[in-house]
This record gives sequence, structure tokens and C-alpha cells, in this order.
Amino acid sequence: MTVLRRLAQDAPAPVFVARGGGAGLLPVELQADPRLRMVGSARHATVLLAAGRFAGAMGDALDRVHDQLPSTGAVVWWTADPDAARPPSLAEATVFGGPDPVEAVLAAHRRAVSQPGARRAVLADEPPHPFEGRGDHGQGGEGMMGGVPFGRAMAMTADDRDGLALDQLPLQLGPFLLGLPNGVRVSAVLQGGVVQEAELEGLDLGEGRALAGADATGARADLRWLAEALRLGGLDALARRAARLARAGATDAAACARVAKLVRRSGLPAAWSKVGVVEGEDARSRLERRLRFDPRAGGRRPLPADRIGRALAGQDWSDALVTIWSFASVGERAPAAAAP
Amino acid sequence: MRALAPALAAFAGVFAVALAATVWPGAKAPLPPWPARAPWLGGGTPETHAWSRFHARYYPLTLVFVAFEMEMMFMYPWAVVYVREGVTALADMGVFLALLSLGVLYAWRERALRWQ
Repeated sequence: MTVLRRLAQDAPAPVFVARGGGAGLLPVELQADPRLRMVGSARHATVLLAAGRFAGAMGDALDRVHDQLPSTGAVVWWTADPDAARPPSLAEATVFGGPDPVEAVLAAHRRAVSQPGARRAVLADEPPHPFEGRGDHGQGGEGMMGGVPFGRAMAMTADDRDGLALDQLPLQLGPFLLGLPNGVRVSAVLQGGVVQEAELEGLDLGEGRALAGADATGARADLRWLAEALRLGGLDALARRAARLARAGATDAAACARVAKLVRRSGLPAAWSKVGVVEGEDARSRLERRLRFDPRAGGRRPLPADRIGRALAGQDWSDALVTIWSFASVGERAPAAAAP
Repeated sequence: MRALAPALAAFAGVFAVALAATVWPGAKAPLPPWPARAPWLGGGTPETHAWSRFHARYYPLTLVFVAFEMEMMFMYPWAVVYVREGVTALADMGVFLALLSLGVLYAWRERALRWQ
């Protein structure tokens, strides 16, 4: 084994977590373990940890994420129900059914680093649209905007808020993007980093829970939510602290209060101020409600997904993610966009 | 020119090594499969190329910075030789300021000088 492989083996394992049906926010607690390093994209991971159930559109999305994992990466399926229907991306995954998958993830990481073998791709190795041999140079199009050069159409222009005609990017984002609640997919039209249109869709997560400990109540649920919010804000050390407390069961009210104090000092509330204002309430107010760690404090009526989608128009993409996460449910029995 | 030869040779050497280090691994490795080449959207799909025109919103500030910074960069050495060169230096600076003021006028028209 080379020195580089040995160093990589002993370094914190870069893990990308895909939260499926029934997983709730339990996987958020894994960032408390210093032997793991949560990454925001499967491209940067050696292990893809798929937690919960993945059926229908969720399974298709997981297949796409699976093929974006480096070809030497490993897949671990964390589920209490290994007999459930599984998408092709989980066909050769290591199945783990216990309450704490850290050791299974570390073993998969060590294997992937020390004996890298090419993982079998799931999707066909084909461009999104046929293009080769078409056009003047075989690139699939003519001129600047014609055809599908190199397999994808060029972006088309539309007016933007500055009176300029700039290109629009229509995208489908999620459901496994940092800052999106479980099973939520966003169909957005972006101009640069500004959202012009957005529609939230809650994918079917299935009934019941798929992981032991996926359901949490009170402070523990709020801490899981808070840990992901802090990670979204780039405050990883504070996020780990919140995750550690959630992992310990969050019975210590004084420790929760200390975390809330640190969050208030961190600048996150100021960054969330005036962001995602819906019905006169901004993301900061929703954060403050969670920082009280009081289950009775969360009792505003659920907002329909189309109201949240409309609130995203005109926001920067980072603010849009904050808005969506500020509405995320702490319990995940239903798609969060439909019942925030 | 002969004095510059070692520097040019060193530059050419560094350039060749950098070019080889950039091109050679790419030439040897096969392209990743199509699904792996898609942009990262967390399981989502793009409909168009990400190659698109967007508004660089910092551009008025950049314009003002370049206009005034270039002015200062030229004025300091100009002040050193002004007494010696006399009217020629004055004319040179006049032409330079005329050209530069076009940029400042354009920035003014673009409302780059307005505080918002």
C-alpha cells in the first residue's frame, strides 16, 4: 500500500448522505463523529450513504447521484428493511441495519481506498440527447443557439430585472441537495444566481419510518434541524456541536441553551434576517422559534408549497435554500414541502 | 536581447512543463461516462448547458476602480519627469486624461458613481 493510500485511509472519511423515505433527519447526527467528514456532493465522497427507502422518483434520483460518485467509491445502504424494493444503485450496496452506521461507513471507506475497484455504473453511458455527427463540426448544432451542441440545448434569453436580456437556466435540483428537506425537489429557473421562478415538489417518501431512531421529539428534533441549518450557513464546527448534543439524546437543557447562545452570537440570525419573508415572518423568526427548543413553539399552520415557491422568486439561490430549509419539518413522516 | 535569453529560456521551460502537466494526464485518461459528466444538482437534471451569459453585477465598481487606478499609476511617474520634459509631457497627459475621461463619462452614464 502506498503512503498516500495509508494517509487517505486514516483521514476522516468523506461521506455523502442521501436521506430517503423514513430516514427523517437522523443522518444529520452523523456529522458529530470526527471520523466522518460530510461533503456536499457525491463527487467529493468515497462513500455514498443511502439512508431509508428509495422508491420511484427517489430511486431514479439516487441512481443519478450513484453515477456521480467517483468510480472507486463505495455505497452503504442504511435501512431497517433490506427486503424493500431497491433501485439499481443499491443492488450491490453494503446493507447495514443497526442504529449507528459509522463503523460500516468507515469500513467501506477503508476498502474503497485500499483496494479500489471500478464500481459498476447504473445509467447508460449516453449523452442526454444524440448529437454526434450533426452540425458543421459534428457538435450537434449550428451557430450559437441551434440544435443540441454536445448533447444539451443552449440556454435561451429572457428579460431580467435590470432590463437586460440574459440567459435563463432551467434546472431540477434535489432531492439530495444540501439545504433541501427529505424528498423535496425544486424546479427552478435561474438567471445567474437569481431565482426567477421556482416550484417545490414533494416526492413520495412512503409511510412509516425506515430507521431506528428516525423519529425524534422536542429538543433533539430541533437540534437535528439546527445542525443542518448551521452547515448550510458554513458554520461546520457549531453544526458538529449541535449534532453531538442531538446524538447524546439532548436531555441537557443547559447545553441546549449554550448552543442557542452561540448560534445567536454566530451571525447566522443576522444573515437570515429579512430572508424568505412569508406572511410577515422571515427566516430569522423561524430560526428563533427553533432556538427555544420548545415543541409547542413550532405551532404555526403549515404553508402550502406553492406559497414557498412564490417567495423564492427574486432571491439569490443561497437565500432561496435558507428559505426552504427554514420551513423544513423536523419530523419527516410527510414530504416537507407539502407539510412544513 | 542576449541579456534576456536566460530569462526567456527559463520562461519557455516552465511553460512547456506546465503545458505537459496539463495536457498529458488528460490525453492518457479516458473521459468519464456521460452521467458522471453532468453538473452536480443533487439528483436533479439540467435542461440546458451551464454555459450562459449572466450579469456581472460588480462591473460598475470595477469600471470606476480601473479608471481612477490607471490615472494614478500614470500620474506619479509623469510628475517625476514633468519638469524635464515640459510641454511634451503636458500634451501626453492631456491625451491620456481625455481618453480616460471617456471611461469616467461612461461610468457616470451607467450610474456607477451614484450611491445606492
